Amino acid sequence: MATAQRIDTPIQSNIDPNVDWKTVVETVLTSRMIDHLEETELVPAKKVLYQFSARGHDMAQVLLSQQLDDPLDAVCGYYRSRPLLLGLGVDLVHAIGSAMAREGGYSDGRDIGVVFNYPNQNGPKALPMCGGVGTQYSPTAGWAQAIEYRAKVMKEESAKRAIAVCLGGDGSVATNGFWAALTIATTQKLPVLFYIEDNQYGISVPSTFQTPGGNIAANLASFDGLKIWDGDGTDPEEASTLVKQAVNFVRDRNGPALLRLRVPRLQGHSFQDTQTYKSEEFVESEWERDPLPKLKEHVVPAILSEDEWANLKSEVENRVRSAIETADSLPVAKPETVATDVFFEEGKMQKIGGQWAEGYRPPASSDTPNPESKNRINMVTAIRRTLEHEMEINDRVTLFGEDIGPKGGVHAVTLGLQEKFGFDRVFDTSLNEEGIVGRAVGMAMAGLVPVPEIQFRKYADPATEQINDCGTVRWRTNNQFASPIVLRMPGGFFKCGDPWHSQTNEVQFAHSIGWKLAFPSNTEDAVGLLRTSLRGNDPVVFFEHRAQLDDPWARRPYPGDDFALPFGKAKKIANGERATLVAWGAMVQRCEEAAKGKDCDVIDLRTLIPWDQEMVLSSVSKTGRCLIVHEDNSTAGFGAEIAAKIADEVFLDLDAPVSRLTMPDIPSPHNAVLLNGAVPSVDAISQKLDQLLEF
Amino acid sequence: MSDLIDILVPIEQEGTTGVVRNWFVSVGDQVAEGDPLVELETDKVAVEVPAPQSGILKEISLQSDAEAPPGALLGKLDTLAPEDAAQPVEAASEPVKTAAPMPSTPVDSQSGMEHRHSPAVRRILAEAGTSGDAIIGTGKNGRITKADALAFVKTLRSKPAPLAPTPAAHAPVSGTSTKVPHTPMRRSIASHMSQSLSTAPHVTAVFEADFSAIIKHRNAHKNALKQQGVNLTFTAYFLAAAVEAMKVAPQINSRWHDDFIEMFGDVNIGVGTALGDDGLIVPVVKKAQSLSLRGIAEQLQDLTARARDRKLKPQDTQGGTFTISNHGVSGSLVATPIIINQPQSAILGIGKLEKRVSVIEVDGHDTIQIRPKAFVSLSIDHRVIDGHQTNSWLTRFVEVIENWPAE
Repeated sequence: MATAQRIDTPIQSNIDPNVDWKTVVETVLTSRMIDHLEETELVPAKKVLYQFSARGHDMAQVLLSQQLDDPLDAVCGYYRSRPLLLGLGVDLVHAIGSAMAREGGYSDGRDIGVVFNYPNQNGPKALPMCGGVGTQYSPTAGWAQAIEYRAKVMKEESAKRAIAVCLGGDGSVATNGFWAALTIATTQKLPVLFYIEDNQYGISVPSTFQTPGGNIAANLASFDGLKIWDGDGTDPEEASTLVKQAVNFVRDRNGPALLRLRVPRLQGHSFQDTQTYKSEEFVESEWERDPLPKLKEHVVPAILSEDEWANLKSEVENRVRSAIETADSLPVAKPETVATDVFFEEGKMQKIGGQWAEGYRPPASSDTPNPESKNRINMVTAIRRTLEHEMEINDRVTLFGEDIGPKGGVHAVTLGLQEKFGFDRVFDTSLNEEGIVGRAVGMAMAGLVPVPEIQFRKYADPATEQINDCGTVRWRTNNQFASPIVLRMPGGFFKCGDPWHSQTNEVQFAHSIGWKLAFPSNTEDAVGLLRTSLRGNDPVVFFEHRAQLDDPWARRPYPGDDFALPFGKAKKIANGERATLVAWGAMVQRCEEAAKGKDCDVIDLRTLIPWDQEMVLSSVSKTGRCLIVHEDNSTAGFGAEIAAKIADEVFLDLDAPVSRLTMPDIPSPHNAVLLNGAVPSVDAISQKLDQLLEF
Repeated sequence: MSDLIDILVPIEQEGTTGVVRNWFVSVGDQVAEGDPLVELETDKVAVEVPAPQSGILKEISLQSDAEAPPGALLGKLDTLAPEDAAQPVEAASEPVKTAAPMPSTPVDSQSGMEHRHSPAVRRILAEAGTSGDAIIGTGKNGRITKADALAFVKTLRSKPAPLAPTPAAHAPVSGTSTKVPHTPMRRSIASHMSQSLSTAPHVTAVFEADFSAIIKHRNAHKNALKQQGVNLTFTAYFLAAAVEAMKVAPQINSRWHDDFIEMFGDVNIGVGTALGDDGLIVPVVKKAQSLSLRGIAEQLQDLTARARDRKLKPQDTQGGTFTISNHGVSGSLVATPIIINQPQSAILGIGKLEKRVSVIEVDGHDTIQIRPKAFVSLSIDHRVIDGHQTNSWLTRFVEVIENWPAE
């Protein structure tokens, strides 16, 4: 006799057995508990000042984290990425301690807690996020390109399935960085997953402001080379399926993908935001979409019983409370340490980023020139030769920029290099400087030596954000990450001037924290400083003055493949007692000429950050008079910094005012007659020097 | 009499209902109108509520953490009647006193000389323990350069000890010559005199003055002034008379520029003061035009005393517009002084006072009288001044001296 089988539990047929649902639940509950305790306890107690809860976004992010398991995987998100980071294994005490700005953790209290970095040596990393929305995209594309590079050029097996994921909200799809990275990823078919969580608001601004109709997935539907998925980030099964599909698509090297998941933002933008711009009905509708009840329904009783869920919840609460207690007992970093780790400090290696962190040490070098022949060569030739040699001996070095491939660069610096080293190592980029520098940042974090070229100094303007953020990586991650790149920048006047091609404005980088700045006046110095930059462990702006590239005065014999100059050491090219002239770049030659026969010290600084204070100060101490000459315009040019330092340190030795001779506060004029009237000439320098001498 | 007014939560505010965050004052405190009383916090901003009038905080109605809806009563303020009002605490209203004296004008507008020392020079002089008064500057506008200071300090070190003339200097001219090294003062005088003559074409006019009137006046007043600590010298009269003479010939009180003549506003008269073999120094009586005879006498007394004690400061010898040289005190009847302090335009020399036989007409008859007289000579820079102004000046000068009122 057949007996009817009593069915006690409903049949669950659509729960993915390959997803570790228990961990997903645990992580989502952890994230919610942190959100809750921050809101109700830590913020009122003023222990956390910048607070961003992630309710609504949490489940989908955690599901994504489950798919990331390759040591070369990297993610870069934004201020609402905590659930993803928790899913990747970030330590709870670090997460909370960093939110409380305590010692240690992500940034030793130097950055806000939700700006994560995760220097995971053995698993997927989180690249240092920035506060600025949109900055996460091009570095992620750079990391993806580095993955390909390591596979193809450095022949690393382990790089074959790794991917880079950039996490952004619906607001971020309007930013420069998003479009730069999209172009890079699709034109170069890079393993990038663009994960867009669409909660319909960027703080208070609706998503219809960021892309027409508010749906970036729909708008990119015909974008060549981009696979798109669009779904409900609050449905456990749909979300986990889409996430897995997208990640595997990219892992299989089918090209980049964009996954848009719709989620509700179940709290304000941050603790301070009371969402008065949302109607009550809308807020209610958002809560109806809360993924957590849906997750519970999905896993209970299929994976967990009610009791198990409840137990998990209280376990999580205990664990989080305990972590809070531990984090709260962490000290605050000592104020006297706040200025450390701006640059690489001897003996303190970063965990991730740059070749040095992976064990690279430079070959022996010398600061004595050793020319093989007396023939003088142009600075442009010498730079090319130096790049070539360093690329030969170090396969991490890669050059890129606009027109530097087959054309060899508009200044001819990279002529022939793509032919020699191939398309993977020497390549043209899209016309987007944010992307050029941004990807370089990601490539550097992935252990390469990126050498991007900005075609003309002025065109670095769009890259300013990436440049500034690159410089502060080491400091704000407490030396856990570094991003050493060598940013080559031709600039200055040539046979004529103009506001777009002839700018110098090197002082902007002098003021950008974390950047070294080289400005050679001649071939020999260019070789030495470039080589040091390529072998170094800090980001460098390497300025190539267009007039000096093939000026006869600047020519010197090639000083040899081992010639490397330290930064912060100037060169005295004339000796005297009566006055000190300080210059760099194209002005050095003019100062040398103007000072002939006048018994003066003439100093070529060669590098501005750092600059040789010792040589300048001791010279001015001796002579009592100083004239600084630079091409950059006058107000707050780098000459002002030098003059202030001199007045501060050797005041009692001054016998004349510390003077500067510069271009006036104007852009570079195009007509050569106007240009020559504006840039300090030999005569003008000579006259000004005479005035000082007669003071 | 007191007048209680309400302190209310502002009606217009940014963000949601505010909460009282922090009272800045307590009940009983005095506040001025506009002083911040309490801070309210909304979800958007922190807002301060200022005192609507001056007075004393009498009551706090909403404490910290209390909700503060728009228009709610925060507290009460007792505004005081004027006679009851205590002086509100004043913020410091005096102009900030600079710790150090204001830097002097770039270049001495009177003499065109740069007297200020650069840091390097100051340091060198301080280390050598010497002032720069005696250094001739070779820098712009006569500025003492570091090189000048170093050279000077070197001479100090190599200078032989005695300043007094050596016996050899007085020896009759015979046998071996001796070398007397230059003192800084000697160098200074040599340079000033040469430069003055080579710059300005000098002409001297000579008048004679009868001192009877000023002798009489002085005799009548000197004792009284002495008792008040003021030494009344003849020089004081010369300065006073010179001021009067400037009024008829102001060009005498001027200086030459390439494109114009600068007529000075003040009459600052330097008086040549001998320092024996140490040379000559010229302290300046400033703004003589605004001084009385007594005032001039007081200034002169102070300056000469300090000169003799070597305690003059740089500003005591700077800014002169005219100079008087009492050369007659040491015997000379007439002299043709050189304008010592360029860029002045004239210098007055006073010769020796003697009893002289003079022919004076009395009631139409010539008589022979014995009168106290001295020659007074005015040397001028002929670029600036001609004979006409020179003689007008001297005429008036002599007139004032000779007609000094008895009182």
